[in-house]
Amino acid sequence: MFLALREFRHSKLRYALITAVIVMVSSLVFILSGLANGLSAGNSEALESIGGDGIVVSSGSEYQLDRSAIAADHAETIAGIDGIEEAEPFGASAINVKRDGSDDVLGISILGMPAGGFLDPGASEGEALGATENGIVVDESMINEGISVGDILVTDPGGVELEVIGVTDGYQYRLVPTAIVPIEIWQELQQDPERGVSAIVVNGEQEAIDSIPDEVERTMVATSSELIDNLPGQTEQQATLTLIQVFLVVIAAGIIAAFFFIITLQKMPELGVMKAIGTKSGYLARTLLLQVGILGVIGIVIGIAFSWVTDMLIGGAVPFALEWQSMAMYGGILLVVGMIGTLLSLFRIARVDPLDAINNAG
Amino acid sequence: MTKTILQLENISKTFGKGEAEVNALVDVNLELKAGELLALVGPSGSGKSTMLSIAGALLTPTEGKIWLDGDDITNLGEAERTNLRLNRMGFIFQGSNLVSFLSGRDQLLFIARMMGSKNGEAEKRADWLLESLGMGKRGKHYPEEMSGGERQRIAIGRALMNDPDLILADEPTASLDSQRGRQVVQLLAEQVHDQEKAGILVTHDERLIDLCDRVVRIADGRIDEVKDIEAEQGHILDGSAPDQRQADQKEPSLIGKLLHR
Repeated sequence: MFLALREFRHSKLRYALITAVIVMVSSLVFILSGLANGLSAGNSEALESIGGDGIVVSSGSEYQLDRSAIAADHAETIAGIDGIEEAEPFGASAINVKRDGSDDVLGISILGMPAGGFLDPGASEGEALGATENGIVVDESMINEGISVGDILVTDPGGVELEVIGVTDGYQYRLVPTAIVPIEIWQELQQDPERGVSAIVVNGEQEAIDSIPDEVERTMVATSSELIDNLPGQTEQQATLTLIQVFLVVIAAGIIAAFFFIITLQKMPELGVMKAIGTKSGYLARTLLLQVGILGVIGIVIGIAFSWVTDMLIGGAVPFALEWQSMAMYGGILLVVGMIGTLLSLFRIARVDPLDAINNAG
Repeated sequence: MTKTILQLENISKTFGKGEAEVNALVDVNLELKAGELLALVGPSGSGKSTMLSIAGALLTPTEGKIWLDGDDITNLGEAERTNLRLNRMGFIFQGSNLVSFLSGRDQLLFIARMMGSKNGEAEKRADWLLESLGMGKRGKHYPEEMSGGERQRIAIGRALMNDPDLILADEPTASLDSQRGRQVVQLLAEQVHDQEKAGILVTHDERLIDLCDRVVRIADGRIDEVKDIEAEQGHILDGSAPDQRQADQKEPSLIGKLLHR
């Protein structure tokens, strides 16, 4: 600690620069992480919120929700199975609407569910589903489009009028503004009303749930995670973003390691003298690790603050979701990897020969 | 009977192998007692640095034995030797070689840190050393802000901070003008005498040997003790030696004054 702090004090500019680099790199990592999470959430948060112990989809769908079609009355059959607590029909699809009075077409997602059932999230503002016949509850994503309670949305084509009566959050689907509609209306809005619903969401004992495909023909049971993973583009998107983040962390570690390596190289004569007068290699090594640790923590904390500011600035316009867990994890990884990067410097320190102090005097 | 601080017995050091073998030191025998400052004089390549390195536990001898204040330190491992240097030796290098990012005072406190000394005592000792070296007001400055002479004074302070048995100075006056250089060696001699330490001063500057108690010449790895220093000095300085010595004796002993308080 003695040496570490004094060295900082003496060479403020150099260490400020290293810290600035750490800030920039960690900000990048966090912002990317925020974008990745935001994109993922924007795509799939509705399915996360729906939850359920099991989601019954058609057997030919290959876990893709838009390809799944099930008859709505299977919900009753399934609910009747021993060990099943509850089962509700659920629909998810895309549709175009126009704001009443305007000509602009808006592509949205509509989620169908029984009004007042266990899937229904209610409303944080306004009234819940079912208060009026064609009332819909919209997700925050819709509010971001400038739509508010009381507005009328008209389907295009079709001309069906839907009145926005309430607002909820956490139900965006497929990265577009999303609305929750009563399941009956949802079915009417489908191109093929005979199609049925997308899925039956089930809560109950696992054994009973596993027996559903035997009880109801052409069905299979999926989890919300499996359906999320199979949303078009989801895995590709996440894989790409994760890859970028991994590279960033590695590059960050490389940069930090390089900085400290160069500084260590420049100090070789000094290190030789210190060893000659009795300083142990271990002490010098710990000093270096301490320095990386201190600057790392400071840089990462400032980086977190920076990403948080970014969130406030662009959070509304761009899918962005800072998750403390991800940030803590990436922050920790950055720190550890940075320290590993200084291994080369540590080896050099160990190899410094105190004899050089005498031989290379001056 | 003053105690023997350093004893070298049949010390030889060889570097390299086969055809490239170099005999840096050949059969060196030396006994250095407390209160003695020894001048080690010789041309480049004579083995001065090697001898200093072995005496200072920076190097182990190929043959022979070495004792420090009665302890056999011939075959200690690297960690033990590092510890030995920290606790029982003081080094002063040609370029002072201070740590660039520590203030003058911190250079001394660092030694105390390494030794695990309690801060209160260490600070007192550091301040006392700085005062006696005339650096009391310069303690907060970094080496880059000091003159060569000031840096060398800090280096002496650093070498004395751990109250060593043995002080090893490798051409400490090389980068100083003759007046400053002489002051530095004087301070060193005073410490060695007053504190009953042993010291080895490797030097090119033969005008300084009158400040030392013994003179050893080294050439091609072998040493030869000079018996009559006065004659040696006179031979070199061409008759100006006696005046020089008288002038030195009149200079106040800074360390002595404070030590005898």
